[in-house]
Amino acid sequence: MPRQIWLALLGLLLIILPFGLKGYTVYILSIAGANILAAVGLNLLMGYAGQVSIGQAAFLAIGGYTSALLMTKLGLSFWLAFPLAGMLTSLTGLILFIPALRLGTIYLAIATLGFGAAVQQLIPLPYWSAILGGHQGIRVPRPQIGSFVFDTDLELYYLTLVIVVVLLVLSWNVARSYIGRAFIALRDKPAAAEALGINPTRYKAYAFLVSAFLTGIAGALQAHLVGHISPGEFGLGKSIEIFAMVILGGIGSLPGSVLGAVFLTFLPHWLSEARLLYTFLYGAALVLVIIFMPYGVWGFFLRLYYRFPAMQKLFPKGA
Amino acid sequence: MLEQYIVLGLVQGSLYALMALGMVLIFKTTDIVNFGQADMTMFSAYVGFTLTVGLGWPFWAALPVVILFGFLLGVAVERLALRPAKEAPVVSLLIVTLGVALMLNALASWIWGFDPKSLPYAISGPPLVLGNIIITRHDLVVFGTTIVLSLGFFALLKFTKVGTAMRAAAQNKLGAQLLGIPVSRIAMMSWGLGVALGAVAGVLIAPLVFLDLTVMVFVMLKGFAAAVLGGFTSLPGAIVGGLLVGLFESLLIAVPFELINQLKETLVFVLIIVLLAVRPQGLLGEPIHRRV
Amino acid sequence: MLALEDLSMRFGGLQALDRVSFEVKEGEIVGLIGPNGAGKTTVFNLISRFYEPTGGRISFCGENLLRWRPHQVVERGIVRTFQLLGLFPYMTVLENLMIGEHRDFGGSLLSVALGLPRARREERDRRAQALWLLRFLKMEALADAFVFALPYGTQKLIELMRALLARPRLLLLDEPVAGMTVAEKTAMREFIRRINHDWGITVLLVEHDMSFVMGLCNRIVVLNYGRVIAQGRPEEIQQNAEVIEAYLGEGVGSARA
Repeated sequence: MPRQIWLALLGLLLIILPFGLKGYTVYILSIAGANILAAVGLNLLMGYAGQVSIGQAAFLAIGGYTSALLMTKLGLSFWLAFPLAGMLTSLTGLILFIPALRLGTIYLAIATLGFGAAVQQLIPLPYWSAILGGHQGIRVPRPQIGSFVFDTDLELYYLTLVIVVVLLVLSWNVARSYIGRAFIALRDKPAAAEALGINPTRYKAYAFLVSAFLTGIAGALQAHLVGHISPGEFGLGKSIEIFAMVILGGIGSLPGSVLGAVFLTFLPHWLSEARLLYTFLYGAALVLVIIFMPYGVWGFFLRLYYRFPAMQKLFPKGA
Repeated sequence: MLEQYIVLGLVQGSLYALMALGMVLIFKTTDIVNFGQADMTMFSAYVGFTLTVGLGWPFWAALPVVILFGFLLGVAVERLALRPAKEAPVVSLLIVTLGVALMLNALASWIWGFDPKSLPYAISGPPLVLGNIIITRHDLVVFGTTIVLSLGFFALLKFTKVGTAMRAAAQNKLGAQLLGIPVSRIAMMSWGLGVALGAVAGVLIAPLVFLDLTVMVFVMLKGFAAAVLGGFTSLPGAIVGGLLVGLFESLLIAVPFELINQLKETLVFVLIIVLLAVRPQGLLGEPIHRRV
Repeated sequence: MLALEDLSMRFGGLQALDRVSFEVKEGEIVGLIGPNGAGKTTVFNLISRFYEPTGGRISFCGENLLRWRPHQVVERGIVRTFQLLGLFPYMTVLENLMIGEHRDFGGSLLSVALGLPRARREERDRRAQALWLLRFLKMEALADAFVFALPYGTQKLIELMRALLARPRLLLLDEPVAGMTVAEKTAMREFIRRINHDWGITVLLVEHDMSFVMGLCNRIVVLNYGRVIAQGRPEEIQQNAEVIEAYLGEGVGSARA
């Protein structure tokens, strides 16, 4: 039962982790949790189903604003507003999917890019600034169960931990199922996949649906963690950041996306001492990681695993 | 009035065309979409700023130096960042181009600071009036440079040995390699030329806007849109696409309706997505054949 | 069972198939042969519905096949393999085989994500079925191996196994023994015979190896330049002057190999 033991140890570590850390670090860990969901969402779409998207920030924005507005304007509870935000984002994912049906990779990239630009331009328009708050954005209420409000960094961390773990398990289930296999089949050999009965339209739709759901939830989670949301957060830069998390972690690997998301969430904070050097080091880090780990951090780990027998003993195969 | 917008659109569009041409060239020979094109263009434009404003050179003396700089920058990026990463899958190489972009951005902020800079026009003097069209001398230079450069560029591809090798590599990399064409040197050349085209676009755009660290991103996105519109694998398509994007954008400004103006960027993309839905391979791209 | 009537296909200026008609009867093993570029794989791609024919009809069990899209063809009972391997390189052998069972999966996206009992059971049963077939062919040791690392002949066999898991009534095999050793070819011939005889699966195959085709097929259809130039029993085809002519034009080597 080595796999269960490792998972139990990891779980325990995540539970006691915040006690050794500063409040701000705990908060950044929670933000990393939201980024993990966004990265996993993009990886299922891009790494598994082979559909490149550089407009994921738009889904984050839709999820975040929806959850916030459902709570503040319609008075829904967090537990209703939060999943609904994911579902509504899923629906927009399906709309984006319509052009994707016919388009090759590069063309889909521009379509998603356009979608990202459109959402970021639409939100601050004066016509609905009474609701969306224009460029300043809006305040987002804290999550709440009954009368218990999650408002310290520690409380929010545990809430995030539960949400992220549950959604990771669900994503893992999909990735390891016949649906995940159909994604990969369509990505690698579309003709063979179709000849075996895989309906490309349906599975691409699934990929967009799942990806948009996870990203919408990530956006909602981030909005509730920060307590505020504004259109400036959702530019091209954010989409590219999520893209980079997936690539750095290793495309097609969910554990890789988790590592990539945590790494890129913390990197700016580690480099913040460097001030002006920061952007430069961030860029250099991206280049160097790809040069030395062409298949991402996870691919690098797997290579070590196969090269050193000691590691195989420590983590038996199939674990 | 409409003619005026058409002329402005074509001028703006020819800048997008140069940008698109550079990106398509790099993509065709190396399969990489250069997401760093914006920052490479921005950096080259700052070099132009130093030469013209800082050292007081005339525009025509600065231009070749900027082109050379762009070329060397492209070559350096290919040699130092992309070639060492050639084991990585193509999507990962996009991240490399982004990483380079961030580094250039940081360098530019150290050297030139965060204040917007303004560059002089290529030719100063009163605007020309042709009937009811007013056109600045700089606009004419932009348009003329684009035409001359694209013609020169096509001549290079068509009539020189390097050009022929580049076209061969774009058609079939493995085949070209088997024929003894040095594919890696071709990749270097393409990066050099592709970034140099961006550099030209940069020094020509900079006088029309205030040059800062991010302004070129929008130009790149429209160049990207133009390239996609033209088919992404077609060099003439890049030019046609660029002119169309510029034209469309300019006509949107002409529409006396505020919302349309505010959504200019969005509408450019919407138009492209609609066009792609009708014609998935872009205007001049090769039709997508199902590979079985 | 399968009937092609006046089937034509034109790619731009190239007439790939010109009014091709032939039939495959239930229980037969039919060989489709012809020199390179004769249009054999085009016939397969038309039956798979990857291309829209420019003329003619395809019917399967009395039903118009042209009504269906590529992914629906397998539901009618037609499964194919590919000339240049249709295996998914970054999946294990077992995962590849389970793609063959794709149409037997029915769990909804939600039940799969939540790991509901039905979805788990489905996954377990399909896995067991695929493992059973691997064991049947004494290949269970390969279950977790990545496909790209296996020898070519083994990959060909796995692709055939995957096709079988899709429960075909008609199996289309595109060059099933290309690149195989003599021993592997003999094993493959016996395996196809067994599939046909014991499991009652009709087979239509494209193959360049003449002795393989002659020794296995009940009937042979010969294509040349997109037209059927002969069809009949192997002995008849071997005597047919037009067929010999067509192959002589291509060079004796590949015809007699």
